[in-house]
Formats: sequence, C-alpha cells, structure tokens
Amino acid sequence: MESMIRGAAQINQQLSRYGVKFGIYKNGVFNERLFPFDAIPRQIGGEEWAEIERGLAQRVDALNAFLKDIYGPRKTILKDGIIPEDFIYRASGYLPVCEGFTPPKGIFSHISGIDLVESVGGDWVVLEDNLRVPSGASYPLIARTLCRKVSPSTFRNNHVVDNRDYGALLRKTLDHVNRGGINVIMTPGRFNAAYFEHSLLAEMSGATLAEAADLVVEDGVVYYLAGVGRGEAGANGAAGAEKQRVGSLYRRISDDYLDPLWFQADSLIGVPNLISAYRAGNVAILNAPGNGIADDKGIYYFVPEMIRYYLGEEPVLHNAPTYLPFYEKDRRHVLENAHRLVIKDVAEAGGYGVVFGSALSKAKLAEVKRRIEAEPRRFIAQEVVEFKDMPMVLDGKTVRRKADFRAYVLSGKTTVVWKSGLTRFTADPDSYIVNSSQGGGFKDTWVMS
Amino acid sequence: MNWYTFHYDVFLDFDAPVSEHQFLLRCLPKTCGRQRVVRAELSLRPTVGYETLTDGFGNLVQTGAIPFGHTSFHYTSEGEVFISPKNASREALNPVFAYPSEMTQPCAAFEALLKDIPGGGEAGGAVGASDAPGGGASVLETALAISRRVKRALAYEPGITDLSTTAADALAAGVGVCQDFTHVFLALCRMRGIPARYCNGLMVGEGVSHAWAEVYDKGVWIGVDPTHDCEINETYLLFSVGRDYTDCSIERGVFFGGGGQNQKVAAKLAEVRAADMQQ
Repeated sequence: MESMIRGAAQINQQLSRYGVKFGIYKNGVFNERLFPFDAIPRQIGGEEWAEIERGLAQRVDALNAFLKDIYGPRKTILKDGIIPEDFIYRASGYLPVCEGFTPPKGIFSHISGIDLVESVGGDWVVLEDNLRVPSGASYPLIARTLCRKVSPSTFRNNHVVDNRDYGALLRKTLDHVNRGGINVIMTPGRFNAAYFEHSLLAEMSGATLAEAADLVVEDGVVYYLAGVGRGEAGANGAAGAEKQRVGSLYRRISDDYLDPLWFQADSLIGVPNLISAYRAGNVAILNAPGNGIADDKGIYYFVPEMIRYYLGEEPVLHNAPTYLPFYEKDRRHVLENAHRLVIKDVAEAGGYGVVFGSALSKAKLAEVKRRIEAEPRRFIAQEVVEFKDMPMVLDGKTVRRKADFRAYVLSGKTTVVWKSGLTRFTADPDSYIVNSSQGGGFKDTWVMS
Repeated sequence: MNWYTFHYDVFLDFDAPVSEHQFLLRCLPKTCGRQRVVRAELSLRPTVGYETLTDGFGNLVQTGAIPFGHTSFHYTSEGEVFISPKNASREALNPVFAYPSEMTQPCAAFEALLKDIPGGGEAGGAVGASDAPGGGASVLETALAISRRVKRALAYEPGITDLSTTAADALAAGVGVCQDFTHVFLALCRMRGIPARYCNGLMVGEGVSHAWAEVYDKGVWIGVDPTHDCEINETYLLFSVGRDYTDCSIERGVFFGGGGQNQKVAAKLAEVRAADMQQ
C-alpha cells in the first residue's frame, strides 16, 4: 500500500486532468474545485459489509414502498397515523404532478445514495438518504482505476472486491425498467461540475450521453436525435438526423428543470412533454420525479417506522437519535437540550441549515429556540453522533479527520449494494459536517473479500 | 340534469414563425361530479395529432407537438354535456388541498381579513362583523362569509394583475380578475382549515374561460364563485382542478422563435332548450 500512498500526488494530478471536480455554492457564489484524493482507503471487512448490505437494501426497499404508497391512491401510512400529513403536504419534496402514477415496475428510487457514519462504538448509523440525483459514484471508480495503475502490487497483496462492476450494475438497473428503446444518461451539459461523472457512467454502462437539445418528444414517445443535436444544426426538425426511441432515461438534473410544461416554465435544460411521455408509460425516468418527499430531513425520522410498517422487519441499521419538535414531547426535550443537539432545518440541503447547539452563543441559541417554537415542523434535532476519524496524509504527515461514507444502492429486479462507495473526509479537523459541498476530500472504500 | 353545448376557441398568433412547438392543454371536460359529458372534441390547427392523459389531479390533459414552422395556433374544444343543478361532487379528498400552495401562501393581511370568521364547521367563534357566521357555522356558511370578504377587498379590474400574481399580491393591490379572487379565497379557506381547490372552466354568459373554487365538506366538493360572490349552479362547466392556477392552466407551450404573440379567446356555454330539442 505504501507505493500507492507515495503515488497519491500522481493520482491527484490525473484526477485533475480528467476534470474530476466538485461544484460548491458558498455565499451565493458558485465555485468549482478539485476534489482531493487521499490514498489511504477505508477498509470494510466481509462480515461487517454483509450486515451493512442487508440494512441498506432493507432501508431502500422500505423507502420505495413508501413512495409507491404516498403517490398511489391508498396512502395507508397516513391513514394508519404512522406519518402525520403535515410532513408530506408541507414538504417541498412532495410533487402533486406525480400523484396517481406508478413508475415502471413500481420502482421510484433506482439509484440511492445512503450516507452513513461509523460511530466510535463501532455501529454504522444512517445520517441521510439521497433518493433524487445522488452523485459521486465516479470518484471511487476512477480513483480505483488510477490506484491499480500506480500500484498494481497493492491489489495483488490485498483481497479487495473489484468495484469496476458499477457500470454493469447500472446497466442492469436501466434495462430492468426500460420501456423499449435505448438507455440514455441526460446531463445538463459539459459545463456542469459533474459532467465527468455523467460521461464516465455513460461509457461504463453503455448508455448514450445526451443533453436536453438531443431529446425530443413525439406522439408521447421520447427520441434521441443521433448525430445532429437539435440545438446546433437541426432547428428545422433536424433534417437527416437519425432518431432512436428512448426507453430509460437516467437524468442528472433535478425535477424542477425536467420539463418546462409540467414544472418550472423557464427551464432551458428540460425536455418539453417528457413528463407526458412518462405518465403515458412510454419511458422510465431514473430516479422517479417526486422522490424528494422520501429523502426529506423530516421524513428521515420516520424511516425506521417505515421499515416496520411496510416490511414487518426490525431495522438493521439505525438512525442517529432524532427528535421531532412537531411533537409536543420532543419539542420540550429539544428546547431544554438545544445546547448539546444538532439542529437541522428540513428545508435546507447540502450541509446548510445545520447548526451544533454547542457551538452557538447564548443569543444565537435563543434565536434558534424561538425559530423552533415558531415553526416546529421545519426542524429536526439530533444527538451528536461521535463518529470515528480516519488517517489521511497531509503535507507528508499522517493526521486524522472525520469521515463519512456514501453507499450506492441499486434497485432493479432485486436491490443490490455496490461493493464500494464514497468515503469523504473533512478538511477542518474540528468539523463534523462531512459533505462535499462543504470542502474536504475523498478516499476509496475497499470491501474486503 | 340540464343539457348544454360548449364551445371554447383560442387563436394564438405569433409575430414571427415558431417551430418545434410542444403544447399541453387542459380544455376538455370529463364526466365527474356534477357533469356528464355526452361528446367532447378537440380540434387543432395546424392539424396535428395529440395524446390524452391524466395529470396528478385527475384532469384530462392533451399534449402534442407541431414540429414544422407556423405563425398561428388555433385550438377548439366543443361538445355537449349534462350538468346537474345540485352543487355537490362526491369525491375522496386529496389531502394536498388543505395546505397552502405557492400562489396561496398565508400572509398577515389575510389574518386581518379573516377577523371574526371562525374555523370551518367548528362550533363557537365570535359573532362580530355582520357577515361572520355565528357559532356552529357550516363549512359552506364559512366559505360564503369568506367569499363576501374577498368581494369587498378586491375590485374587479382586468389588466393589472397577471398570471404570476399571488394571492397576497392581489390583495395588496386591491384589484384582480377571477383568478385573483379565487386565489385569495383559497388562501383564506385553507387558513381556516377548509380544504379548497381551484377550478377552471366555462360559465354561461362569460365570453372567456372562468375560474372559481370548491370547498370540501363531508365527502363532497361544493362550488363557490368568489368573483360573483355566490354558490355555483348548473351554469358552470369544469375543465380542471388544482391547488391554484399553476396546476391547471388551460394552455402551456414551448417553442423556438415567435417574438410577440397575440391571443383571442371565444367561449360559449349555452343551454339547449326544449324548443331546440324538438327541431
């Protein structure tokens, strides 16, 4: 492994050449920066992994059952009083456009990114579900490939499960729900910070990479305009362009921009009438629009209940202990203990709207409490999870930083967990917020055989 | 049941040719609640095909595309319907209608407007202003009291508000058209705990499309027209429902080119009288 760690600079140089970047918003300004790679991998033993795998598949199955229930006619989880209506219909992630429609094969979340941490006690704890457009699978994929080149011996001497099957897994997932036609990965374009990932995934899964201008809906069917994109040459119907029917669309843009006729009217990166084709059952969209209701921070609280409710099983993986100020009893507890809890605004994402009570001044803490009292549904509060730090190399020295782990769960005929994942670490030695949007870097994750 | 014919014509003229025109329409009625559709047809010029599907609120949607260049788009929806004078449509409640939508967010001015109006269907409540329902008011009584307040707060005046005007903005301006009256009414009803929804359609004697509202009580939707401050009757034909205007717009389109555009609308909902039937 030493030779690999010595080769880290070389690997980072390669990553920057490939354009492996991350886009971040800070104070309203968009910046792109390189995503530094640390060569010391996270290693997860085979037995431990089997347990994580079981827990993740269970969790994603329950979340899919929840989405089917909520957007279907029965909504039993509301009628049975497991989740209060307020948490659905006041949440920005709930999309009425998706009511009364079940996507192909009943799958809503095809590619789920579940964020976990390993607590000091050794338990894996789920911090967040990402069921909309979870990104980042390309980082460990490309890093592994480069590591193998820089230090082949490392992989001869360690029994690491190969992670280069992600493309095949993705392809299977796309094929399973395909409504007839080609698989397409839809990207906002080459100026997008994640364009590298989009193109890599297309290449590895054998899907066609397309932008909105390459896609058109005719007679309720989505077509890919091969050769000449409409945007450039074909303003008059792309004369001479070959068109191919699209059966599965793995879109890497958010719901709001998908279709200007059904969502935000001013979207220029959407495909008009895409949702019409989808609701007519002529194309699968991965992940399904409307999934935002299931990865809402408020809904997170209910996921263990969902597992019991839909699957009749006890959750294998636990949530961080969470309180819902919406409930009177929890509210009192939160107000009394705010100084030692993490308070999260459910309307915010990407590590924003997260405050640690312990880090707040008296005045700030009082302000947070006032806001909780005024709008209890808007917040959740969690116990601080003491999670393990990991070694990393900084300026030639080994230091320790907090790290989390994003696992990728693919739902097709069965639900499978990719035997790898993205380990992210903080740049700031005192920070617990591990999110690519907040700086930091990444490691490869080795599942050992 | 009364027998009606309906006709809804929209002419869209573009200053310059447009192409790759994708459209989405909600201008055909379906059989539901108070109305039974005998015949409903959509014709399009330029002549192109269209697909019919159902949206998340159960509305009929017609979608299609005109790929080639054109300078006008003309669509006509027409047919025959039976409409019941009984103002009640039995339907399971989609809970979303009890919650504020983007165009109907609560604001302080609404609280003031709701003064002395008790929650829908709840016993008690103050009897203050003459239009406030007394203790134990029904949902409909409360809704009609709210409608009176809206009618007093807004003056009917076209051309000031537009399609993006929210309920709060309309109230601040003190003027609006049927869409604005309906948005303010919906915001107020929901604040008082009454599920309410936006209705788009045609009305006898109205030359363009019309908007009104429905409130939910004991398993049925009851129509209230805040613009005319009254309950609805058989002279209202429903095209679509939603949380607010944005959910059930009659026409949406995306195209290349065009520049400016001009829209002409002709709508007619007319009763077929016994004398006509004998012919």
